[in-house]
Amino acid sequence: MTKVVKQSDEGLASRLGRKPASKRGLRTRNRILEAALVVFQREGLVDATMQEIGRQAGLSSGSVYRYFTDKAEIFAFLLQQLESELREETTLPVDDDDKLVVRPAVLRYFELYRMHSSLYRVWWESLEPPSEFSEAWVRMHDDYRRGFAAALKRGQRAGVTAPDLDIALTSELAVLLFERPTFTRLVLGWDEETTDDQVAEMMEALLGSGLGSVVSSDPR
Amino acid sequence: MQAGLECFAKSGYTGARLTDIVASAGVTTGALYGHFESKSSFFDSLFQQYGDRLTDALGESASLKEQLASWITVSREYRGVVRASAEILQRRPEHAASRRRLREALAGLLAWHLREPLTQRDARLIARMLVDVLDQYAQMEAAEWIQRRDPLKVADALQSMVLRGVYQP
Repeated sequence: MTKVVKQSDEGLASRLGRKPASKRGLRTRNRILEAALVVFQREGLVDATMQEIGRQAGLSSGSVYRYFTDKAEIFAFLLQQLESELREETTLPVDDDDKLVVRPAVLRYFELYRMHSSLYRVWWESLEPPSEFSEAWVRMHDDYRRGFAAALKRGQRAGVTAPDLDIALTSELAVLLFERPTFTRLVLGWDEETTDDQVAEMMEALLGSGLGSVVSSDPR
Repeated sequence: MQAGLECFAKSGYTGARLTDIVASAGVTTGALYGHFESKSSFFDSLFQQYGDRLTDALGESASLKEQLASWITVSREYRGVVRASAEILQRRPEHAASRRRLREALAGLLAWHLREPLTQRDARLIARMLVDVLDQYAQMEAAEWIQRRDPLKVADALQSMVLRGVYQP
């Protein structure tokens, strides 16, 4: 297994909140972060308030403000942690034939997504109107896209990628194929009857050798 | 309606104000309120229009590829709706419900062109995935995060992934 994706980026480092000096302060900050996740999941970013986060954490909103200026700063902090975890954990492995190994990567992606579904929920919510958070999202998207493009180019050099493939466009679509169905299923909860394995299998086919001639051009 | 599309495209859902829409359409506020109670009901009717246009375009297309391409063309025209819808999808449960209904209907139309040896379950699964990809593609194009491409080229690449994947057999 080879790591094709290896990104480096500063993420949202400019907004980290104030680092608490004491162990107790660190504990309090973690309590705020945990409470914020619960509130974000329930209310979304727009409707969440510092007061609500304080109440959830069992703190006064005054003490919450000692650690974070506003809810956006809390979200930025959480998002920065998520970004570095994703960069560390989501990789696009290729096999000895220089083809992508899709299924384990997809299943790992689902696992991470479930672990952080409340953050993903807020992240998607914050794509419109554009903000520093949508910029972070686009950055992550572009990293994935470049990762796919690198893997496909590598396959082309090895002679396994379809020679006439539009790599730029295909890698764009490949990322969307990962991102959006996972969002609809795991955040919006729209396809409850569909299992991880079914989706992984389908993604594997589309990023493998396809499904064969399953499209009819006949009008109904 | 046209003025509304432009306003949502420029200012987003929260930023759009009925008074601005009225001003650029050159009608009176009273005339607009005669038709719509509020911004949300005005937006709902625009979204309904977008959904109808997509449904018609997909229903009239003779092939899957044509369906995929016309999705992008129609969404381009409704750029303001696409953006505003993304903004409120997770905030307004009624809107999420209509998005979901539309997704099912459109997936059904795409599935028309998918055939054996694909099972019905898999046809449905792949159709929904295509809807999701197109939804997100349209959203990214509307936000100008990606360059505009020829819809037929995008459709071709997407269909080709379904049929042939990315690697030689």
